[in-house]
Amino acid sequence: MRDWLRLTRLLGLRWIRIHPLRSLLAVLAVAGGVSLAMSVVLTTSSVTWSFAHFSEKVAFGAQLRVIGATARGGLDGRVAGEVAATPGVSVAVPTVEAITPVISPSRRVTVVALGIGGRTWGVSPQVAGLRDAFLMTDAGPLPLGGAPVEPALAGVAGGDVVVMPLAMSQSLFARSGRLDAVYVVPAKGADLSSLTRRLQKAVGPWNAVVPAGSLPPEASVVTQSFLPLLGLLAVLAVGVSVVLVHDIVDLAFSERRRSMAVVAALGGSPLAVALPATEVVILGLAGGVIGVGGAALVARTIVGTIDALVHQLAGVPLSIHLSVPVALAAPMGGVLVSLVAAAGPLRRARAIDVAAELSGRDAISVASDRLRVGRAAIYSALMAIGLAGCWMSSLHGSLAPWQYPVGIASFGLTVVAAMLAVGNLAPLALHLARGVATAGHAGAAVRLALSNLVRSPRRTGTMAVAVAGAVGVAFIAASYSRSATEGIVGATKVPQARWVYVSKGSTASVTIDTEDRFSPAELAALAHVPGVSRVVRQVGVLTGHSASSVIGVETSDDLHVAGLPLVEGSASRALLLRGEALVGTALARRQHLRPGSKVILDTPGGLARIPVAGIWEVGDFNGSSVFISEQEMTRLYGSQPPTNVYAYARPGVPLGELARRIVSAGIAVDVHAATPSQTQAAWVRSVAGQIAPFWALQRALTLLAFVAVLSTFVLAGVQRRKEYGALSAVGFSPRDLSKMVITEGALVGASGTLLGGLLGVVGSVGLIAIVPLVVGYRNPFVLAPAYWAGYGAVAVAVTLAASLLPAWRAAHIPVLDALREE
Amino acid sequence: MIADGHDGPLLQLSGIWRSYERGTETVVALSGVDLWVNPGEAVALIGRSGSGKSTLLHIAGGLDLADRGTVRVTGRDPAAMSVSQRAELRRHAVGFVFQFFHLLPQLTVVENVELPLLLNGGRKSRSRARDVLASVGLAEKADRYPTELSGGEMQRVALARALVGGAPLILADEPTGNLDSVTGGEVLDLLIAQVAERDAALLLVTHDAQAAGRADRVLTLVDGKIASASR
Repeated sequence: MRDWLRLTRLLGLRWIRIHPLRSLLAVLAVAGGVSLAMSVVLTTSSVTWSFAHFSEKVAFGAQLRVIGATARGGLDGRVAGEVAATPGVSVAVPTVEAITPVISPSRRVTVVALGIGGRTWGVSPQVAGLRDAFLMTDAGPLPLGGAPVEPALAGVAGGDVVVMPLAMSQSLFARSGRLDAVYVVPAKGADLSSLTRRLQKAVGPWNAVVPAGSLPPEASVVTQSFLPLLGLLAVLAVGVSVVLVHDIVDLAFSERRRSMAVVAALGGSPLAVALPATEVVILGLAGGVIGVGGAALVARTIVGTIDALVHQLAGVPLSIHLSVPVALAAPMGGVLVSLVAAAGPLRRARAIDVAAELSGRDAISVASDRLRVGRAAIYSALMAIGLAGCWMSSLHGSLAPWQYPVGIASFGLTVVAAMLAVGNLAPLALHLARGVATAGHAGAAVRLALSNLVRSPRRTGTMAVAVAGAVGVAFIAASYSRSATEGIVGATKVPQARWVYVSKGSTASVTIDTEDRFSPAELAALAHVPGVSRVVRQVGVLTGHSASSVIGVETSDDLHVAGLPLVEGSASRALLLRGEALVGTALARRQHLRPGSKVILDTPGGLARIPVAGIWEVGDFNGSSVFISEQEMTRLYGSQPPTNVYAYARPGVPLGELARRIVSAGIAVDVHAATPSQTQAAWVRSVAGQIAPFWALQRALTLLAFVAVLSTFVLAGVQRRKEYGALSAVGFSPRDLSKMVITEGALVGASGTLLGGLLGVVGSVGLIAIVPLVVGYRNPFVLAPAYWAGYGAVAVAVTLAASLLPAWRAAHIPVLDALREE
Repeated sequence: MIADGHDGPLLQLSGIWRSYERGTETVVALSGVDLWVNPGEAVALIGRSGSGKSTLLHIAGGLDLADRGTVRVTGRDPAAMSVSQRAELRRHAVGFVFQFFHLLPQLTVVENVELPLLLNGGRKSRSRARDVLASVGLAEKADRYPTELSGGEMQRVALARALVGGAPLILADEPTGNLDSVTGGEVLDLLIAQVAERDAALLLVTHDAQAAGRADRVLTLVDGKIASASR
């Protein structure tokens, strides 16, 4: 055993000490891929942990939670008694969890106002620190001055919390006889799954029994809209990382073939010959450990974006939480990435012809790979098939159940095939460029640079993929951003609009399921502001118990449905007044709905079945929406405060002037009024915020491209030492050698940028086609070529920077030593 | 008789044929070679480049397998063995010395010499490696790296590595081919002396007639066949 450890150290790990730069680059390549992949895992686990942590603080020891048909007051108060009486329940804790602002002269904070049976009134130290603050309630602002401070609340929901007796919260937040949730502490020894079944039977199918720390449906609406796309990009990054590590390991093993042959000649067993693989494991482990830090950095941006929305919807601030399984998964993932990448090279290395290797006969050259025209064609064809799948998934409103999986899989196929096509097309493009350079008057350094890249197509392809990945993702993100912006511009129709958007808090506030909404009295006061012709309210209620069953039920005063994109059926005010509904495409697909069928809704009174008049492509609630008349809304969910309020201007009243009048009318605390152009700008900013995670990934991919080019050139430089010596011998100056390497860097950057454009166009086409599947609405197809050019320039600069060190090393090679090498 | 109880020649090759592909061409390296080496005997194999000398040596050491013919190394047939068994045979019975030394650049001199012992799971491997290094006159350079040594010193390290495991059969492939004549002579002296001291068998592949003259027998290989034999 001791001998094996020493052998491992000598034959495997010694290389790390001998070649620290190469080892570092391999570690960084692994770390890059692991960072991006784990950032998505870390984001998901952090969101889950944040809610689980909140639940644990609210009801210590609870393992289950009973929730109602709607998030806000969705449970009948009698359910608490039914839950408590269920065999196997030790304690049932009924709660009201109102999401509402605390407003002080200096700050506005969204807090969770918790009503808990048996609790006394109190605020967290953070909330107590806000001077002259008011808690906004349905019964009006409640002064918080003098409220008892509970230090223990500092750790609940980031300290943005107020607690009160249950009855007080029901009174303040219009939940007479209603609850938001009942937390369940099981009796000792109770079987959780059978208890869940008993509870579900007791509370009825329109209510649900879920794990205490599970994500509330309103948070799922946010996370579901872009985590799948982020996941795809992360998969892409891991793919690049695997290819990079594969290349590094392949080149490293090629260099060690002689050593491995010597060990075999000395009688080393196949296992001993494979000991250099231990280095790969160590490097993968180190990359994975570093990847944890990288993942935390990337995840911080993503979680920040989600938090901006989820905090307002669910009141729970999200924070990065690195759990032990995730922390362990990263190094293991690093080892896995390395082993996957090393599998091929190791297999080839173990299959070496020892005799041939030692006598220099028939030794396999790393430069012996050929241009792969056939592969480029196959991957391009797969890319086209992927695009066709994306297009098919977008037909007829994407109502067929097969369209969602086909769309997502097709987009994945498109991106992966496009990346692989890029890897094979880049050497071909450079091959063509070499033809041009040869025919023209290009210098020897440029010709040699082109030849070097063309003769090692796999290596060149890897670098091009890394560069094209970074440029392509920038192109896709920018194009998507512009597309979404144009969608918003088209929807707001600023020149024709005659309304002012009125809200509490901010211009583009998310108000669904928050308490800070306009009361009937405040709306009446708004209608009497001079210049207001009429007030249109939009109301939304969130139903459903899980991410897969969430439905937004909406209505508006004017039932304005004309001109909106109808996929099937008909849409008219008369149909809605008759009790029928318009449903979003995602819900229609999920529940197999067509005009004439009935959509099933959870309501506090049981399950309701509403006839479907039509299906439309409106993105509210990611397409899982039901639009009904106000009468139906009141019948199903009782009187609801408005989610959005529009004040229409009388003829001749300028909109800016109307907005000023509304703000100064003093109809409520913290009222904001925005003209259509201001509203549009706020929505555009909101979209830009949602795309922030993609830019974080893009920056990480750019870093990965830098590592890819640097590591590849460093390794190529090691392999070409003798060649550099020969070039020097025939008259190449050190400057020529460095110029050759830098030219290679520039050519990789240029080809990567060119093919990044292809990747960007293909990715954008696929993304625009499948976006309706994910978010429920269709944006116009727009490209942002300026971003492609800009990020292409960045990519070329990055590859040039990455080639500087290898160029310096090439210029400083000891010629005689290099020529003497076997 | 040697340590593992084998009587007779330590190496015996009968009717060895070997060809290999080079591009689209089939190159016949050996065509019906017969050869044996007894304990305490040094046999030189000479011939031009491409005559099949190195191929024969690799087959003798179980690094390569013959297309036809029989091979016996200390009485055992490498062709009937698995890859692992052949590796074990080399560990116990064969010591290689190469023209280009083939020292592992990442290991120090003593670590290179110690390597066969570690592969063998032997105890006190470090002190034994130092002893053998001392016997080839390199005790003071034990902790250097191969790149810090001269060609002659590197070959002496390679020789120490071949001897350290006590292998009864030493296969040397142009051991002086990459050295100047004076250094080559010194290395050869050392090789012959060390082999004689251990009563081992030596098969020496060389194109240097002077070096071949130091052997007990000289075989000439021409176009894959033994063309002549002399004492």
